[in-house]
Amino acid sequence: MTELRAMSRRQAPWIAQPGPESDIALSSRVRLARNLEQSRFTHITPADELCELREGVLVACAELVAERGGQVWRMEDLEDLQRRFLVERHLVSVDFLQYILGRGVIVGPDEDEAIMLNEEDHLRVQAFSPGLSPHRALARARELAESVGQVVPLAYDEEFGYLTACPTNVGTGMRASVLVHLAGLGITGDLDRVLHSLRRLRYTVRGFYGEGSDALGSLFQVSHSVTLGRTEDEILEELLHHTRKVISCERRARSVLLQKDLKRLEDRVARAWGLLRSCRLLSTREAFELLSDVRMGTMLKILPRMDESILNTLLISVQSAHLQLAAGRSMDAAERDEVRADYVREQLSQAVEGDEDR
Amino acid sequence: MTHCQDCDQPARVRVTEIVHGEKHELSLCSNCARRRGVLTPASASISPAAPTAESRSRSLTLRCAHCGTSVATMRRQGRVGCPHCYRSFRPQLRRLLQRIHGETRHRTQESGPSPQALRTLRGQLREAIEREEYERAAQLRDRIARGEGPSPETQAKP
Ligand SMILES: [Zn+2]
Ligand SMILES: [Zn+2]
Repeated sequence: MTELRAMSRRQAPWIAQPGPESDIALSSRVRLARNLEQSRFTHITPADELCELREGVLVACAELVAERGGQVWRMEDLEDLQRRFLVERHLVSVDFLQYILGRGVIVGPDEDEAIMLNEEDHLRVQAFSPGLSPHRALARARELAESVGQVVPLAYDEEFGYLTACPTNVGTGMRASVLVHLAGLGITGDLDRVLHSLRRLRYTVRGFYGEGSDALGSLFQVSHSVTLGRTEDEILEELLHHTRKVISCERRARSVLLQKDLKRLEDRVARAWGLLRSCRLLSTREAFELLSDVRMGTMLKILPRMDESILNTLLISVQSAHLQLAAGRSMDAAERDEVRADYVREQLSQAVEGDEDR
Repeated sequence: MTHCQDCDQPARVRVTEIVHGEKHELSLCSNCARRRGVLTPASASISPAAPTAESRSRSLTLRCAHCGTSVATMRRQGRVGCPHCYRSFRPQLRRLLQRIHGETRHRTQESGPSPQALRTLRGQLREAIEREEYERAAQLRDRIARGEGPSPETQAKP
């Protein structure tokens, strides 16, 4: 599995690259749930049948996968560390690791498209794009899902649309989300109000780093919940509308901080920068928090310009499975903190130099 | 070929099990994998028993003919059994979907190319790749991704 190790050292383009409004909205993602017409949904399918189903899909899609340069991983073939790496990489969901046998994932060469096999639905087609650009992600996801639909018969009903294991996904089968960085709102104390108003509109707001990591690094994924009765484009337009409102709240918070509390903001950002550039032990949690301040400081030009793609990639690559896979061995928490601190120092030096070179 | 370590049948699945912090690799046939309760979504749920003659005569319509899931199971699990359940339990699901989404009817996008146009584009894409015309292939892939039809000059005459 040297490919996974190589991946752990690479940037993930969907979060590294700049896109519309990417100072605050780092990336967009669209997931389409699809199922095979003739098979039971995965939660009542025994493991051997799941394996068969997966292999059948892989055979049918072999040409498609080869054409696109995709790679296939079967979950039971991977080590635990490699599986957790795929979660950190956002190529599979956390829930995906609850069961291993019969599950798999196909990943495109730029990691901007992926298909989870036998999660809650037989197929979960995903596409990512940088910045606030859910339409771009949808176009890719839909094209991929349609290509798959030409080689495997997908469950579709004239009245209900795409049929899914959970009725909450039926219709478009779509879940679109935008990853936003709300560091300013976190400092001004307006974060809860903004998130609450989103939730009242029946939007879901989740911490980027999975359950129990609520506001870690001030990164949130905003997604809609309705999937039936509206077209994909209508759903995305509404998501864009509400996300833009959140973005403008964050911009306002940042400008208030710049105008009314500049010294405190500068101090906070400079401390974060200083710590990341000189500490010798760094936990994941602390890394997330400090990187968040540094990222905002860069966007507000409090810190010198630096290569943003390196900074954005760090938001993913400081995590434990990334570090261990890159090092090629498993490490205990103490050793990871040491390696993490070294890694971040080295990456930030590169980010500053990289920008001077240009 | 590897054989099941429990019964010597051909192994169909490989499992990593962690016992007391130690990792064990198991090769198992599907029967033994199920017997050992190896982690699978289905391992927790028992496959639906065949309906008895009595219940069949009483509530035949309440069991999906394709997967055997009953309305009661569906309610309990919060999951539908299979695509056919949506057809078997249409009125019940309509009510549920109305509660969840406030709608019951899927609406399709009017814009975008027809399946016919997409097939044309994909055919052109395959040709371009075979002829190693990568620039053209990239353009075609972009057209498909943007949801556009074939460009006018390449479109087949009706
Ligand atoms: Zn056996
Ligand atoms: Zn069914």
